[in-house]
Amino acid sequence: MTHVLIIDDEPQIRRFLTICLGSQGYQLLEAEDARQGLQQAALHQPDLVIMDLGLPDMDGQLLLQQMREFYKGPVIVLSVRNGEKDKVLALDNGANDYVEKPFGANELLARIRSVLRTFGDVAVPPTGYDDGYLRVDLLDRRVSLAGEDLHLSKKEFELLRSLIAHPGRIVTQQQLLKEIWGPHHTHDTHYLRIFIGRLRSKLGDDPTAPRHIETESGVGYRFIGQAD
Amino acid sequence: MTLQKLTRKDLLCFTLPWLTPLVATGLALLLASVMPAANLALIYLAAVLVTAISTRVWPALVCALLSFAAYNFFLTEPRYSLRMLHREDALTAALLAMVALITGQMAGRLSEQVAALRASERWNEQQMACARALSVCVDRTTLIKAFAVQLEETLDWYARSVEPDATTLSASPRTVSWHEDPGGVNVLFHGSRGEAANTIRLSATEPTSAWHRERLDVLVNLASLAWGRIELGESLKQETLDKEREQLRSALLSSVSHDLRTPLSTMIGSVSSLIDLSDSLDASQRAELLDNTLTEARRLDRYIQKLLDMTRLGHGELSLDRDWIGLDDLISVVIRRSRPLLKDIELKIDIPPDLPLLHVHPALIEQALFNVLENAIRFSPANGHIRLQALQDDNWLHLDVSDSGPGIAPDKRAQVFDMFHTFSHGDQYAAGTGLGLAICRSIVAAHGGRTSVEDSAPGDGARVRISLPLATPTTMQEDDL
Repeated sequence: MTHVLIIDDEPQIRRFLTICLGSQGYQLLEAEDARQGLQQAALHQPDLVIMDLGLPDMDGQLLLQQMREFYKGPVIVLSVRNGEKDKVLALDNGANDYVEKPFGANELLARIRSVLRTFGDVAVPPTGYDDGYLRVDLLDRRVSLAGEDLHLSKKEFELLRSLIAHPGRIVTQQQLLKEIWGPHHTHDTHYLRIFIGRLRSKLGDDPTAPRHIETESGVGYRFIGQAD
Repeated sequence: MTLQKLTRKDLLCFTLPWLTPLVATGLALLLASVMPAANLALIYLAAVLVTAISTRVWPALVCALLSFAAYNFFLTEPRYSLRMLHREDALTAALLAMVALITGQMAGRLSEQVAALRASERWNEQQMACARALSVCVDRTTLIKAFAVQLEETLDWYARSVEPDATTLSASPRTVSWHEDPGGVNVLFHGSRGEAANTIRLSATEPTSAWHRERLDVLVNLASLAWGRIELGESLKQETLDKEREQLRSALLSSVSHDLRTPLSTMIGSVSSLIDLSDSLDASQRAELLDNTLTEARRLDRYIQKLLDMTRLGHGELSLDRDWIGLDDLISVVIRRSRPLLKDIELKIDIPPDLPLLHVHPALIEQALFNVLENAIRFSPANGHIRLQALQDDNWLHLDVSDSGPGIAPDKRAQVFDMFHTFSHGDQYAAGTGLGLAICRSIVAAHGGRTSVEDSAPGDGARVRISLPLATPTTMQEDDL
């Protein structure tokens, strides 16, 4: 049984989430403010936390920081559209993903499944990826496309590895820049754009209908390939 | 300046009365052997004249006294004594005194007149300078600052702007007045209701005199004229602004009430049918009603997003958070957002490879492009197509969205981007909010770009173009590759 804690001050949203998630067999816990949320999280150690950033008694970012001191499970943040800065800050503060309000049930359920899946086997980082078309062996540093070997530059490979390491989850552009180019390059987003472009073209991924790398505008990238 | 003049005059008053008789005596003693004593008195006369012209009556009299004493002592018999033997000597003394008195007085009056003339000339100059300084002021703050400087220069007092006293009685509106108190003077700037809107405090360095009052009257009068001009101008500007805002507000209100109500009517109708008539509806009808509700709710969400965008743009709070972004990245997000709207409409994308990166605020340009695309979807018939093309032209990137709708007549193209402008095409096409393209134009303009409606290819409908200037990113270093 998967326990999900919902922290939101809107009773209608909590009700809707209870019905929607309950129908999928999740066990729900509810909190209407940050204080209750922290208590519930500490008391029940839920498998997933879904929280709103706008809470009556505490800034959502602060709640995230405080919760992260004792809670290690996945957190999904509910945010408003165009609030890229909030999203990035939430991800930096330990959120694992975000869903834009207003959201549809399917979208939220997909995100929940995705974070739960990657958190389930977080202990063992993936050693590779294979969907029958794209094959990546992270140990041998080999990439092949439809059976043919693909040559990637060092940085291109590192970029692909960083994304594959968090399948289905968003990786912020700052995180990628820091990991691959170092802490002095966190503002050189054009580096990242150029390399994402090259990587996509080598993987034959059409950015307007991506199969592997999806853009989360202003925030980062998400590896959406479905391994067999 | 005045202080220097004063001391120089004082210096003359203190030195000339004894210096000129001394010089005259020296000269007279030199000439004593060749001239009779009576003629030598003329030298002393000259000394008294010089002193009287250069100083005032009293120093001249002193000079006359000393001159006579010296003349009597050194040059008349009996020499080296002050005793008078001849009556002419008494006459000489009287003559010297008279010259001193008359010339001294005349010279004094003349120098007073010159001083007065100079002062009035300076005062005229100050008035002109003040009028000039005030006439170039275009707003309240600069006017008050400039006036304080003028007051300081004219009165030689210390001026500073202070918080207006709220209890000050109202005077005639849009004027400037001054009030005296023991410590100095307050200059009050009255607003449109006569209240004191600003105050300049003048700290007096000497007791306030008629001289100060006269100057204050004239200068405050000048300031009053300038203040009235600025106040009137600003209230006129405010009125025009208010009127425009009122027009926009009523347009917005009618748009809001229409565009919020329409989706809400559908939603309320659909959901109430589901609740009340649940038993008599079959599964497909129920699904249709639910689908309607969702579609309309999403439409409402998009509309609210536009209102938010518009408020942000309209209030000038928009700050561009530029970042390097690839056009394909931008387009992928826009396509993801517009997919639920597309339904049967085919979207053809034509982006040349190797386009340079854009340096823009990604979320805003996305919104601009989304608005254009949404507009194209609205005017495209079912099973129609929309073409999204990108092309580079020197330092510009053009993004063209062509639909397969009825198109826009060339003479109507300029209005497309106006706020609340919607085309009526009968019931066949849903009327827009008249906000989307206006927002698009504002966003693109904020990036230094342009929006336009271009001639479309045969068979296509309208072609809306977004043009953005291209920037060159800093080159990457070798080891970063």
